[in-house]
Amino acid sequence: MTDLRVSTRLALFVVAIAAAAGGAAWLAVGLSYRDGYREISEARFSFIVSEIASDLETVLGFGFELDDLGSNRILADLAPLRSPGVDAITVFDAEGRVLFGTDPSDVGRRIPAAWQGQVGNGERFWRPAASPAAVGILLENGFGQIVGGVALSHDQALIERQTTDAWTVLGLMALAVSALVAAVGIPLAAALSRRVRRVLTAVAGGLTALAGADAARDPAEDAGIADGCAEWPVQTAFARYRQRVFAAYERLNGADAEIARLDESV
Amino acid sequence: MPAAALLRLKVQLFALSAVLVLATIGGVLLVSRDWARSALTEELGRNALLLQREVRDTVEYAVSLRIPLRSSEVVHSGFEFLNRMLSENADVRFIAVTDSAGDLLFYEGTNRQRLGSLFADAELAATVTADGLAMGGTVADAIPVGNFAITAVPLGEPEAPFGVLYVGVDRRVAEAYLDPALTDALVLALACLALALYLAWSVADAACGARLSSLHRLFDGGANGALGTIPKQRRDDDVGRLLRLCGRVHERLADAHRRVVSHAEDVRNGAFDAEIAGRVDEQLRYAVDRDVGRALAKPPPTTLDRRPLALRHAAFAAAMALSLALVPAIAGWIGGQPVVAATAIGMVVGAAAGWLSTVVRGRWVGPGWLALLGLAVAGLAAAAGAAVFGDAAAVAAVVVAGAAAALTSAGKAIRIAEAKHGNLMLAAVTGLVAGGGLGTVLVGRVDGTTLLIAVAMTAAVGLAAAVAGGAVRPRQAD
Repeated sequence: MTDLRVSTRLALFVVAIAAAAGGAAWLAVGLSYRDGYREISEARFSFIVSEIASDLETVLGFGFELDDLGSNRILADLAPLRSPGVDAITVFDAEGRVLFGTDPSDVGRRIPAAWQGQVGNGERFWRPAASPAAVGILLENGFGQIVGGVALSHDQALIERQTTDAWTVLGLMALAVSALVAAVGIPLAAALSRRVRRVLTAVAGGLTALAGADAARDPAEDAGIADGCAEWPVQTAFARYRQRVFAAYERLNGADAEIARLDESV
Repeated sequence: MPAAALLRLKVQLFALSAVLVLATIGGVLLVSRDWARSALTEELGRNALLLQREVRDTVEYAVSLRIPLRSSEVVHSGFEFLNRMLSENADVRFIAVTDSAGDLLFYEGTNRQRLGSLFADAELAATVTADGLAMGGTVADAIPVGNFAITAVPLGEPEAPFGVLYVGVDRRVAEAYLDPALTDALVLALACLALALYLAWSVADAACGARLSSLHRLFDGGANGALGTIPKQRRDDDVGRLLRLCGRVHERLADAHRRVVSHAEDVRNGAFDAEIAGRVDEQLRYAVDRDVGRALAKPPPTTLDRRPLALRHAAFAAAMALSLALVPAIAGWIGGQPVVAATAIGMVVGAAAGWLSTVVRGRWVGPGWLALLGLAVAGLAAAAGAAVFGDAAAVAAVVVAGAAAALTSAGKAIRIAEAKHGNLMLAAVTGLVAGGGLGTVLVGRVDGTTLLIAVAMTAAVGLAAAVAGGAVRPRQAD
């Protein structure tokens, strides 16, 4: 007897397990990679902002005003510091007015409200959660007064794109490993169901004989069917059922023979 | 039921699935960590490149002012400068400057002896030639030497460099970024093992236990004198075929019975002797009708009562959900993360309600009741999450958990309405359990991509589990 259903279910079982484990590992590595990537990127942005702030504060320490620093020299210094993911670098005064930066069209505008809130907090280094994503440092003059700040806004979408690419690569690796494990696991799971298939095959053989034209009772066959009945009571039940069917046949045959004998005696 | 053999099969299946889980997770970690580490090292190289530019600009500016590179003032300020650079770049382990002859001028972050051994590397030495220096300064030029990825750039004009700047990034730093993956993998492996345990049990029951139980009941009934007609079977699996065979056995017995009865009636009707007719009647009444006839009139049990199976599965799933969800719930409250706790508690409530609905007299306590409960829990949790965090992704995670709870109840309702379609609730609860493990790892780290992956993975595993676990069944009988 073919036992496709049991095999199919066990194959699906193995696939589900391999998929779950592969997906779990994919998530675990992917999340760590993504978090690490973001952390490294943010460290880079923080470094850039720190360097710009350091340069500006050196000049402020000589007694210059922040408004006077919007020179080509400073802007030229900003240019090489641009790296992947950096959107814009903006220098602003204490009132939140943009003084200069990598985008000249921003000059004179107010900085975003989220940044302004961070400036109001007085924290020297800040990283607002709200859009636009940015890191910034408040600038002090030679007397320790806050005279403004510098902020670096970064392209979150670019970072997301790069991490999405990593998800894809890691996902393909997880898929390959899961498929390999499933390919090994499916035959192993099928082997585990061998005993069940053997029982079902034995029962099917017994039933076929019972349903046959000549269901002659064979004690050896009874013994074979009952083999392993301690493990699978269905075999014991089948053996009892088989005896019952044979008993019914014997009863019928006995009665028929007796009736025939009575008929002859007439 | 064949308890011992079935239990052994379940244990064997679980052992196999545990090996598969560990092999898969271990394999993926082994393969993907290398790739992730090299990708992160490359990203660290970008940071090193930035630092290189800063140092190079400063040194070249000093030289352009005709300050001798070896002057004590430059050396002093150079050390201070390099020290500050290192302190601002935690991932960079050392910076070193040599003159064109290769003599070490400044270095920070390591000692001279170690630098000497690193610079002796043949590949690095080959890079620090006139041609190599001309190409230096790109991320791709980072050369692995020992535990370091070292970049070298020329100072001054590439055609006539007056020195070389080295920056070393510790490659183990990239590994440190991936360390959380091991913890997460461990948590998820435990969740997968719980899922594997549940699946091993339900698959063994559905694939073997239920079939053998069904046959056992049929044969037991037959052995106790229920040999009546078996309804025609539509199902085309092994049990269906066995039931059809059994039906043929009973039909054949019924034919034999009819023949004997017919023979007996013929003889009795043709008998002139009343004593003979009486003895034939006696055979017919006692030997044929009382024994075989009654058995043929008594239908054997051919349908399987699935309620105890569903009850056990539901209780098992609820226990797993409790164990998986209570931990993040407690951790969430202690850690001041109400969204986590709300998610976990929502899962517990959904699972517990699903379990109770099965326990209470084995009947559905009211169509849609649990669906409303699940949605209400999800809604409350979402509202709480939005009020506290305003984090749409976290709220979405709560909604997913609530939807799973709702699906639990919907599955139950479907099962009650259409009992022949098996137990969809099991699949839903399985999805819920998988969601619990995922939720534990995704806490505070959910974004669109991870949420998509988590939902897709849960759905795929839930579907496979539903089919493997017996939720989808053919119609059993006409």
